[in-house]
Amino acid sequence: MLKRLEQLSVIIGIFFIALSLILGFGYLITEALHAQVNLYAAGFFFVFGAFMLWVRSGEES
Amino acid sequence: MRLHFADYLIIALYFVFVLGVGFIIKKRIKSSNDFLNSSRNIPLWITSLAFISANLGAQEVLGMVASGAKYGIMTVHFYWVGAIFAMVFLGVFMMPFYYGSRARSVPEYLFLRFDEKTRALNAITFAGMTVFSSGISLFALAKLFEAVLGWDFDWSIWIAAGIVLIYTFVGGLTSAVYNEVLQFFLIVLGLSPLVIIALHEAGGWETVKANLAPQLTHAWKYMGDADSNPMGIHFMSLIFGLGFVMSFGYWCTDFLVIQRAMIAKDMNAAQRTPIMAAIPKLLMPLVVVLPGIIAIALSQPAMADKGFSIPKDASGAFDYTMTLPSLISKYYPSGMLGVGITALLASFMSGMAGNVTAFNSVFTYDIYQSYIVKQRSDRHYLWVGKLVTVFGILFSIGTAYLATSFNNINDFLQLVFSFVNGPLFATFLLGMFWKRTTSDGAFWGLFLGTVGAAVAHGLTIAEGKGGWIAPMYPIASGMGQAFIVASVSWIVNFYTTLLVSMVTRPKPDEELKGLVYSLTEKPKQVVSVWYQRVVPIALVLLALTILLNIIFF
Repeated sequence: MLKRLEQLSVIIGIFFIALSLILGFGYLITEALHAQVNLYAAGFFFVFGAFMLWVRSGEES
Repeated sequence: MRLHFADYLIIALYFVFVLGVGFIIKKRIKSSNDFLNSSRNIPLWITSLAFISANLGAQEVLGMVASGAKYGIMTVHFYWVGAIFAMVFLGVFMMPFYYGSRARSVPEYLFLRFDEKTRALNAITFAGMTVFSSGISLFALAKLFEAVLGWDFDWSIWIAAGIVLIYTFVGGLTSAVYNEVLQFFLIVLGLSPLVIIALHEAGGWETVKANLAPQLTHAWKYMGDADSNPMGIHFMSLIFGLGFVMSFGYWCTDFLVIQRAMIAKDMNAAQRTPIMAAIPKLLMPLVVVLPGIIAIALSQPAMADKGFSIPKDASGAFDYTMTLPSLISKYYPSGMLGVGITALLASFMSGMAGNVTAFNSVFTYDIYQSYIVKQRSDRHYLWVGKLVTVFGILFSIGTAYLATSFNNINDFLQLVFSFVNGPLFATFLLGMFWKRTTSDGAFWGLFLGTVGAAVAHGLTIAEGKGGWIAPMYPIASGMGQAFIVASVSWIVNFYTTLLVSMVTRPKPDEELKGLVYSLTEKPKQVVSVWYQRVVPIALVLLALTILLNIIFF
């Protein structure tokens, strides 16, 4: 499990999910971030991040 | 432009991840080969995206958006005439020599094919160019953030350079390559929403076209006459100057990008690296050219009600360099603004790390190990590689500060780069495909090709630049002048190499096996499915490229 965390696809996946959480929670709790583009981008980044976590990268770890 | 706490949080998240990648890779670094060459075990999808990302530096992202605004859709020629054909040629014909020769760098290939003096000439000019290029990128980043965000110039330089230094120092080339892939996704996914929002705001592509001169929305239609298109060049100059000399000179000989293909797992992956990279490259104009075209449409008086205009400089002319930052500022709210700024940061850092890691390898292998200290332990060269990383970054910082003192140093260095890069492809073309090419021919061809470029620049003048010998030939745009200078340098190199080779002694055939096309066994395709084979994908890619040229004719 820890080895898999060192794979690039997993790192990219976690990065984009973290990014989506900042945008998503920001949209919900902060007026300054309450813009539709933040919500849509959060959704897309989350899906992309989940895909990168799921995909097999072929790396040696 | 003011950033919200969430924007800073996104920037901080990015910094944590790029540094984290460096430390994750650190434990894999046990030898100089791991540090400088990634031990040739990187998967294809990573080498391909790193290949394109190493070229996706600040000059590319900001520069192509600026060119999109200035020259319109003709800017796509850099992709659909220039890059794609050259990348396919590299993958199909040249990678077997670079990879198969087991050379660790492009200058080392020149040593194997020709001799020490040709390698030295290429290694020294390349090392100098990369470190200066990295410094100019750093200067541009700091100036941009100073102008747009009000950030302190010195802090921007030292923080950006410090982060690149940490992750390249601890993780070497692998760390730089891994981060380039992360940076690629960040740049593409971070800027794509901007294109959608701006295009929607402008009323769609048809409205953009309706508000612009037709010369800005047709790629080829107005190229039959140099005076009737915004670049001021005839299509023959474009095809030869950009499509052949400049693009092949860059994509097929520049170690900065080729290094990413040379670290692939096997020959098939090395050949497919530039070809797979060409797929996103084909679509890259959507992210870096289209925003410029939309921005210039939104800046027209007929669309004044949209409330956007490209900023103007002191003379009242459009400051095209500011096109992308002004679009981000206008259309991204807090949150996505942080993503957009981080994408810009990523492009600067990606370009800088690419230059530094290429500089590392060339300096350590082709200068230090070849001429200064030979035959020491691998551990010695590993530490030299690490030290060179530190010095490379410090030189870059020095260049960035030098650029603040000399207004035209950027133009001057870009000019010198074009003098050096322009003729290089002729040397490789003859060296790889004509076994009669001699070491003296290659050296003098390179040298006189560079001199030829300088003379051509001295005799032509465009936008107030050049003509330092005698301004005999005026050219409408600086871009057109660059194509002509590169073409002259290539022709001088080609014929000099040819003539000198005819009167000097070539290397025996035995020494040229694996280095010259006619004396090298062709790589056998061991994969059965068509999409894993080099030539079928290359043909599909070329067909798509031609189709796009026809659609946007």
